Amino acid sequence: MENLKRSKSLFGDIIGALVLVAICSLFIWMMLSTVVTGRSTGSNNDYESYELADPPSKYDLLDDSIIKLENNLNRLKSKTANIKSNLLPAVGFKYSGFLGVSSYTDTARKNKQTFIELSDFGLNQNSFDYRNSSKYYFKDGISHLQVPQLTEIGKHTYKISYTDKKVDYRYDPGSNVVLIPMLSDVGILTAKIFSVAVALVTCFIFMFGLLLILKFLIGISRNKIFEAINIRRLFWISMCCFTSVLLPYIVSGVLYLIYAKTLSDEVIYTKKLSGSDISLVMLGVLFIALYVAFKRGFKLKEENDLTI
Amino acid sequence: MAIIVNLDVMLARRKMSLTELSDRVGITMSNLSILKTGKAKAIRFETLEAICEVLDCQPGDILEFRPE
Repeated sequence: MENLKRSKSLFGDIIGALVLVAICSLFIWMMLSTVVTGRSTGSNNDYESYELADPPSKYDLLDDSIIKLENNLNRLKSKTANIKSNLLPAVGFKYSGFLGVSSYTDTARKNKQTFIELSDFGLNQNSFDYRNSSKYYFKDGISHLQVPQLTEIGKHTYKISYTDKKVDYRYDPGSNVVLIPMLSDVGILTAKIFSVAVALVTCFIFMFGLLLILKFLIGISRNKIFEAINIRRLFWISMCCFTSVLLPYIVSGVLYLIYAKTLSDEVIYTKKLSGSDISLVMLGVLFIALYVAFKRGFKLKEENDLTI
Repeated sequence: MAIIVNLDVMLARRKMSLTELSDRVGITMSNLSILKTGKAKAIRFETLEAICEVLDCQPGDILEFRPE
């Protein structure tokens, strides 16, 4: 009977969260529909094809100080390029998608291809030495990667040679986004549905946690502090905290493994625990601690209640 | 639980109802019911003393240890 009550209460919580998600999804849909309409009607603002200059030629017998100076200059140049490329979601491509999975049309060739926008992935580049790192450039509709080979030929003197390699992924250095072609062209509608589903799941978890906190506080105000249902809510709140942190990692990881055509060594996972992630984990740990304390309190209360 | 409460046996022997015991001992019916059904986790000495006084018996007549 008690179990039935518990499950009914949890069921009620889930229904409540679903209602909240429905309201939120309405807002999201309104927001996104404006974005999509804006995109579709604004077809005339095609992005210009952007090509890098010719690949750098071989550098021979460079002095250490010159390398440092040139590194600084290159960093400044790359910063400027980043600001410029931030305005273009994909170099040489017309963007028509949102939330992680996107379709890009090659404006030069007019062909359509669907990519996964992996914002947590980047190229495995050595940030300390700009020259000694792989360089990505896009030319004639094909992505190229220049892999450096550094050989020491004397004291403080190096010879750097580059090997050119064709790759099928695209890289946006501005927003540090890697665009990986999908196994099959799933179409933008499927991509949109998937993106919205992921967004709704995240939204649901967030709302569920928020609703549980609200219900927990209502329970306290009604003097139902040490009740099994109220204490179980603490556990689910902490689970919501952990899941909302882990979900982006899981989704991008699973997407990368399942849908990505290219599993290149150059593409690395760059997502790091951010401040908000850490605070959410700490919040989850705090709720777990509260759950354990309240559970112990519940046992003590039960014992006290059953003492005649 | 290994401790069995034989309150109903003693009540039958003394031909006393649960309501009467509740009135004379000063314990609520719900608490007496918890004690009778074996749901109780502990019993205070003063409660035991009052019950023994009303039922004119020893604690051993009410409580019994039976290994599980």
